[in-house]
Amino acid sequence: MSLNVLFKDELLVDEEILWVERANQHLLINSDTMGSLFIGMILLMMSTSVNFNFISLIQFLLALFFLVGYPYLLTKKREKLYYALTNYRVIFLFDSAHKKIESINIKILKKVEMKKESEGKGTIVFEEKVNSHGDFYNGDHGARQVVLPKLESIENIESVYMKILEVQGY
Amino acid sequence: MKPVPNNYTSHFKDELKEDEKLMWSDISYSDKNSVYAFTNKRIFIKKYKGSEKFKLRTFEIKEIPNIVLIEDDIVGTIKFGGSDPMRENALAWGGKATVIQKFESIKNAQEVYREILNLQYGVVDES
Repeated sequence: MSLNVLFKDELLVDEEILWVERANQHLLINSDTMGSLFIGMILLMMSTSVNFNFISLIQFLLALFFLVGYPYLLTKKREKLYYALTNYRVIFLFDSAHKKIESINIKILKKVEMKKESEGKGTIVFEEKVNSHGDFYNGDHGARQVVLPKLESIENIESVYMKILEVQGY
Repeated sequence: MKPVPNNYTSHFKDELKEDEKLMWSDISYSDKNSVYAFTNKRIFIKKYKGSEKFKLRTFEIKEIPNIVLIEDDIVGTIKFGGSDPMRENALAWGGKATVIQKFESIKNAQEVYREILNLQYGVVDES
């Protein structure tokens, strides 16, 4: 089945899919997994540095969760995630019982960054920094960074990046 | 877009600019103190604190960097602003995703989401 089918009901009039891909199914070493592994290592050291008791057992079980369980859950969650680029936007689709779909307006973003990895893979990061009087934040003071999703560890990164730039009008 | 009951227009009629047309308005089905609307230009989120006090937020539809639709069985939620699907409830360094504003627990969320996207990208949908 073509992955385009997953997005067909989401498209607007005159919107065309330029690229579609399923999220990487492997364990990714990113800020989420690194944070979890770090907490897990600290808990593991704490649990083994004292004599065995109830507290150290709880610490050991928590360490197991952060070292193994949480990274596994992140990978399982990514199994349901699909990416698409259209002539208007980037779409993130979570195809689960309660569907979740996110639309990124790439034409107004301040920054689209390509982080190239090995074998043609890489991650594309979107950033939108809004100044202290930005319309979107309406009333909030101080510059804030909007946290946007990433196209993480995708194939043919350079080709996808060039397509995004084309949609942006470069 | 199917016509959506416009029962809450009175909450927003004083806020509209001359060239602005109210397209939709409704109440949150999980928070009865919140009423929402959008016009051909802006999103409105009004949160009441008592019968007279309220906080109103508005922002331009074309300025929104990302919009998220979360569909539930009967109602849905539309979030405006940063919300990384892989970072929600995450332990990531750099903090959790920041959700700026939302239409929480609204009916016809799919249609509302689609109509906001149409306005954002200037798409005319005759269906």
